Amino acid sequence: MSISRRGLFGLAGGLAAASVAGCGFAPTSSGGAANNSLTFRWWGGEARNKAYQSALQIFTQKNGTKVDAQYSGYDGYFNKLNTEFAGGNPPDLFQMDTALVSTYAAKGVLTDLSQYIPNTIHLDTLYQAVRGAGAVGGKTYGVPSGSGYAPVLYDKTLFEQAKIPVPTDTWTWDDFGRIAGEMSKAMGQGKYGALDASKDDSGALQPWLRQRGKDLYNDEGKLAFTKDDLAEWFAMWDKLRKAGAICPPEMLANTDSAAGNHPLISGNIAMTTGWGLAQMQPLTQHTLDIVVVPRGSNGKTGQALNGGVLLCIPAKSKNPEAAAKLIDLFVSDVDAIKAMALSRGIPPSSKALEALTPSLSAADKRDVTYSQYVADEVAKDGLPNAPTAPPGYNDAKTALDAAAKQVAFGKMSIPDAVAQYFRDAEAALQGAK
Amino acid sequence: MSENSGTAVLDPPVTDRPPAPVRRKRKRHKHNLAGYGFLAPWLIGLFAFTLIPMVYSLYLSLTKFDLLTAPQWIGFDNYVRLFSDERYLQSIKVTLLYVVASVPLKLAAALLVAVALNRGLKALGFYRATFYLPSLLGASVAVSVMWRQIFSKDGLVNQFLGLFGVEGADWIGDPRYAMWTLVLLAGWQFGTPMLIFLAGLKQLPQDLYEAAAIDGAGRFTVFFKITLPLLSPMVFFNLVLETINAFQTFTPAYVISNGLGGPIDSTLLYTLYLYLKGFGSMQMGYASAMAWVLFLVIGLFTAVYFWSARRWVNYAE
Repeated sequence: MSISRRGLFGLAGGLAAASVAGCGFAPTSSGGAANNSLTFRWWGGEARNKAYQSALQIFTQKNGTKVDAQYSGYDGYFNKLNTEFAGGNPPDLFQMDTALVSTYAAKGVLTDLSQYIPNTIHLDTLYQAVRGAGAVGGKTYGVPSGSGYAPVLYDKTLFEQAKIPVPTDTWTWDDFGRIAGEMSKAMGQGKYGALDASKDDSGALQPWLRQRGKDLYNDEGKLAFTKDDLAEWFAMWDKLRKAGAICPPEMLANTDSAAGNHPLISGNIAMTTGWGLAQMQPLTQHTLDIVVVPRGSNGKTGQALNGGVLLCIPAKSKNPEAAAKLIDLFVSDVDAIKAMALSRGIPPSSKALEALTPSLSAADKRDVTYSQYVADEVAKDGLPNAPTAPPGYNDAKTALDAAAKQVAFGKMSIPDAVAQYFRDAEAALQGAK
Repeated sequence: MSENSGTAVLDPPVTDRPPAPVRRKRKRHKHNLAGYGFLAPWLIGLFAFTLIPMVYSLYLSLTKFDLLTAPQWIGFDNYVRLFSDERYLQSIKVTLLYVVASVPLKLAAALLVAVALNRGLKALGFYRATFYLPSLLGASVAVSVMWRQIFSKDGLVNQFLGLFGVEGADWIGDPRYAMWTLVLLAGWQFGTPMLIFLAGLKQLPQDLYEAAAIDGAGRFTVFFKITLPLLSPMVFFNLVLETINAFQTFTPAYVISNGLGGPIDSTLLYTLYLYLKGFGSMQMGYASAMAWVLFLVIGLFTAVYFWSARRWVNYAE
């Protein structure tokens, strides 16, 4: 046998080194922006990519500024962005998740846009409620590009098959539980009336809390509800789970993306909280529809307007003036608004909607009328606007997901899960300051 | 710098030494230079992409670093915090389970197939390539996505079980089983160790087998008394390599759990948690500390392997 000890180790060393080297960071190259160009980075699906690009063409025609468009999916978007921030080479303008803006603002890496308002960026056309979406500590760090209220999505076809009336805009949490239970029975074994939404912070827990005069976070960036509230929340879902009205936790493994294996698409559930009507409808033969999240027993919707995606300018932007002009194009340029229509979400301004309404399709009109209806109902709530999600939000959200699933899988008692959530979420919010 | 000065320092000024060896030494030195020249691309890569980043990450592990603002020195705080972080301890548990279950499974599968293929099959090349194929796809996202489909509630496995009237579990969604789908995936990708075993089997001396045949040894006796001991350097080599690989596994867990390590952290492999902490929570200092602990643990495992190797690895030297 001719395998020598030395030869073997040499080979091992080489392979090990090769595998380690594979993990190294490759330097990112980015063309330096000349004065008359800027880089603009966003995430989005095909519809948004097309919409943004047609708006960018209009921008280049009107201003003569060339825009280097860089887009990708949401997965990995912030990882790449963070790496570029760390390297001191961020894009000149980028799309931001509303929930993360305070995290970035707190690090001092975003431009305060107040200096461009009202001369360059015309915020006055935006709905009052969304103007503050990008505000952190009294300064404006982002301007919303689309907005909306998270609805409950349901499979209308399944309701028709079961001969059960679809949910109405006045339904309450009690109705939700009853309808989910009836649907579970009608749909048969292995199928359920609703998805378990005990882990859904902004789509379910937040309205539920606001209906009771609480909220997820307060202005100081701390939790604005008590352990008793959360225990009651978990108990409500636990009851539904044990009654078979909502799905077992195993089914939650496929809910993290609006892809074809989402239980709403595969027909395993009839209702779910959250976004995604536009993305999910093309994936199924069934008709999907939206309804407002169940109300509190006092009739309040508790909904908080979501600024959707924001546009932000990094502090190290090489061409902040042009970037500010581009932000304004998204907000107030009628040609750009018409070119983008609803493919970036409902435009957050009355001016935009007036320009669009004549040319909308029936499904699009449903979206618009829904959001206007909810806007009116929310005004009736008489509740203060929800504070911006604080720094550390992402980890607090993860903590809710973890605690809710511990209860759902029966691995933790409700008091233990509540304690774990408060410990982890408070540490995350504290640590991010 | 002239070469003379270099050799003058190294060589003691012995007068009775003949000049020939010195010249030979100089020549060898020149040969070395050429060698380093050829090595340069790799050396530059080693320093730029491995050693310098490693040293930098050691520094980062002693800081609080959020990627966006300058790192702040905090000493060993990150290391101290690790051991009170319940999710971290969970990720260690998950990773150790993964390593202990997947490495032996993979090596056993590799050895079994290699021995089967070594029986003088006609289309050996074809079979070898076929069995190696899953490993070529290796850590690719596509394979993990496929695995997700196969083991989902309505997936291939459950449809197959359905033929026999058995209702399968939700293999991906149930925390009791999710990890085992990852272990199976690793076991299925046995191609690389299989090729190494196969190469080793081809080189085993035939005289021992002839002697065993004359003595009337059975198939199992031959395998355990001759094949396995002679193959032990290969087993050792594969064991070291696959253990290191298993500790560093990332992609399958990332894809199968949608990047979250769920359900309820049952597939939260070490590197996945590291990634979530570093890029998701923007705690790159903490993540760097995790990377260094992993580095030490892998080093420790490897050292134990090498120490134990004296007892069971049989070199021909």
